[in-house]
Amino acid sequence: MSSKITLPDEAWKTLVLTAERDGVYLEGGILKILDPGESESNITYLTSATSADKERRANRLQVTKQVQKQNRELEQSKAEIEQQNAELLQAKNEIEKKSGQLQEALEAAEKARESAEGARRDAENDLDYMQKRTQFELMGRIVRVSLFVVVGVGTITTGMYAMALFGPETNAADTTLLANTWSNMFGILLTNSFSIIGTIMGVKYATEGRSGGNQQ
Amino acid sequence: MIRSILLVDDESLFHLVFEDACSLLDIALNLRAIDSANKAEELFKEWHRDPSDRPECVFVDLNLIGSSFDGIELVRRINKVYGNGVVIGIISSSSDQMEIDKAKQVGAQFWIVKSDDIEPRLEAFRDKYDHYKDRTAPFEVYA
Repeated sequence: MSSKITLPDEAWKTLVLTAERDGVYLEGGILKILDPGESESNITYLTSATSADKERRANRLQVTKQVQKQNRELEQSKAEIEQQNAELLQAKNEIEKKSGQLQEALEAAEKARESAEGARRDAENDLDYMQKRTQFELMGRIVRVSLFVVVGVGTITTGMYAMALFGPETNAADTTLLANTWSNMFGILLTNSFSIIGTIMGVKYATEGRSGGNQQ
Repeated sequence: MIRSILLVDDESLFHLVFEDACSLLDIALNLRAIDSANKAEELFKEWHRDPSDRPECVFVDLNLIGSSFDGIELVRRINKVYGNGVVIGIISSSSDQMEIDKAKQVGAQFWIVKSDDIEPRLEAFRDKYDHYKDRTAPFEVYA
């Protein structure tokens, strides 16, 4: 503990006068080390000054504690808000991530749909091709049989005519009849042959034209 | 009454609380408050050369934001390097037993837990101060 300090009487008088006139007192640590001596007025002054100083400090202490408490609450609120912000940010990131995954899934589904569509088109094309092929094979068979019939009939008729012309028992009347018959028959066969070929070509071109239109 | 106290705490508002509480409780005649362990170390370097202004008692906060080391390290340095006999302890809002043990190991003489109602703890500390000064009081936690 520091030793007390004493002031000259004049200084005490000035202090007491200032306190009485203006209500102004010394304050702070100096009050703890002032020795008022025996003077009643000095002791009263020091008691009043110390009391006022303590009251001010007590008030300031309460205010400071209140501010300190509010600061702590603000800091706590700030921390909570920051945590909530962090959680919101995390949720946002998760939503964005899920959204990305959903987008990828949608794109994959779209690709799968396109792939299925392509497969369906391929299948349709294959079916169309098979149908056409079957049609062409059928037409080929018809053409072959027709040509065999035409060629067979022509060959048989020609053979019979040749036998009639160059055979051992030839008769002019028979030959004339056969010649006319052969000529008519051959004309009819040729006409029918061209008719068949023309029909086949017409069917072929018509089919190609229709399939081309479908593809468009 | 303690002639002079040094408070090392990074919270400026606590400087005011501590100063007013010490004044109201007639704990200290002179109080100096600083906010960094580095500043405290610089001061103790000077007081190591010229100890005339060295404080009698030092209160150190545990966590000193903005300092390059914490309160326990400051206590260790003051005790081992510069202090040579100052009464020194921790004043912190923490009451972590591990930290308290560390403080004790580096030579802290007391641990005061900061709270809104700090005056009774400072009063209890004041009553035992003479024993801390002559190194007869055991380490104590004021919680």
